[in-house]
Amino acid sequence: MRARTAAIVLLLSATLAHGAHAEVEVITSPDRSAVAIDRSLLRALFTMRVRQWPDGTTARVFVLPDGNAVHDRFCREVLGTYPYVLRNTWDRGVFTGTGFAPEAVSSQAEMLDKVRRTRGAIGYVDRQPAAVAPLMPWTLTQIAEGSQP
Amino acid sequence: MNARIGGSAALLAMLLTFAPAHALDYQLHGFAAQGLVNSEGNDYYGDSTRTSLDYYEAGLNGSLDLGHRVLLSAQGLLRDAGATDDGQLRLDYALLDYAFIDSSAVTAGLRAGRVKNPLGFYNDARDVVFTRPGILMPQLYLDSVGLRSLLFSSDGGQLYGRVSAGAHELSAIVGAARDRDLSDLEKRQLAGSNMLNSTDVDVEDLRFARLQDEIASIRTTLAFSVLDARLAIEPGNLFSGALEAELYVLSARYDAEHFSLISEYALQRSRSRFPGLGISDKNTGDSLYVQLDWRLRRDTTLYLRHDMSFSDRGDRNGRDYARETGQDRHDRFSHDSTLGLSWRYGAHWGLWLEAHLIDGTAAVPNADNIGALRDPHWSLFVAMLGYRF
Repeated sequence: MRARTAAIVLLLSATLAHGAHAEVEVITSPDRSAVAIDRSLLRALFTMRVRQWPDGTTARVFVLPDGNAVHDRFCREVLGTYPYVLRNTWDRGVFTGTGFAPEAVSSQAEMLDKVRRTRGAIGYVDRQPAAVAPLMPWTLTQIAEGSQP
Repeated sequence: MNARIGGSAALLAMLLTFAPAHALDYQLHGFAAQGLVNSEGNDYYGDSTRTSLDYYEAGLNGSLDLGHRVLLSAQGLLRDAGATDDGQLRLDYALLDYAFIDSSAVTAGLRAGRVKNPLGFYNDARDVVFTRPGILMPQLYLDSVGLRSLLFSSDGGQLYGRVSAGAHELSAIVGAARDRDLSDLEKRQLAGSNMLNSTDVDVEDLRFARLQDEIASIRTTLAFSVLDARLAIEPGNLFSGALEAELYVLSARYDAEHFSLISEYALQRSRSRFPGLGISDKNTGDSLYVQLDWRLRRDTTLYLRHDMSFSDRGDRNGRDYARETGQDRHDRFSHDSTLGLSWRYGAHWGLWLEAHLIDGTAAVPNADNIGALRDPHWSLFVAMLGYRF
């Protein structure tokens, strides 16, 4: 699948002085190309509170390990929470039979691979190693302006 | 046996009807933990004054996505905790969950089968050390005394909903359970002796509800929970009568980067009527704990808890009780100061160490101390090593 080049615009709080390109970006599988994701849906997907995309496709959520620096930045900068809070939420869902846990991947390379190949997938990567950028045939999604963090 | 086979056949038929063309999405998880208890003064979960290893838990669960927003989940577990739990394998939950509304703004659904009961922050995930606030539960959860088995899961149904409104995430669950008989183990836990074993005790009208608000902007979660139940004891028997209980819990939590502050207050109202024994009694007890979790490092947490429980709000030092009954006033309260350390290693392992200094004997497990003299000033050291996947 050819990469789409839609720009990702990630709204960060005013205290973070980043330029137009954020370090941690949300990525989805190619079948999600037409989907606009607002922060509310993003949070709902990563806290496993919704099981499917608005069109009914099962959501497949991928995350890096709890101690990973990119995961840490993703939790804080994108979701506005901490890794331990997410971990508690996932564990409660799993051990009460009320939800799935996200699938853990061991590296960003694996993240890219899984997200590209799995229908309905969503994940995140650190875009910074510039060498990585051309290798990513993922679909960039637009985070709607004005949603609450 | 027939009912079980019929049930399995129905479940299989349902699976085949719902199964989508592609392979079903599923997850399998499990855990196992071994505890060590050493106490001074009273026994807790076994012969702990000489160090007890009669404290362990293990479980396996699976969750199957049947498509059409239906989830099938089940967990089997076993738990041994001295004489208060028997190490037998039991079905912790087995439920069908259908989310009839499933969007980021609103979720609503129902669950049926054996479901975990929502009460406070920790009741529904109490059997897994990884999801508890420490090795031992705060006293309001009735882990060592009373009928914990009433609390953890029930056969019935639940209706649940969630609404995202700005910085607030509101969720609610209401549930009701089928009437059932108490098992011999439960009767022993309730009575603190074998005296009810040949008596029929039914749990009736068991209902739960919890309302929760997560306010992301101030990193605070608030919840209000209610439990309502009636224990009916065999008519025509000397002990015949009923015990009606209500439990109200107010919960609050603040989650900062390096620490969390958790507090829950519970009010327990009960009314017992035993005409044959001439007993008609009303009682209100309560309990409060405050816990500070201090994350020294990402994988290491120090926790401090102060936990107080009172059998009678109107008699917090138990002196009226002692005067009226001639029993020890210390049986009517428990003040527990706890210091703990938890350490996580990787994604799978956890180690917990906890020391409790306790004043009062209200939390002493009846079943572990039948006929024993109770020491009102006692202590506990508990350790637990756990593995999960």
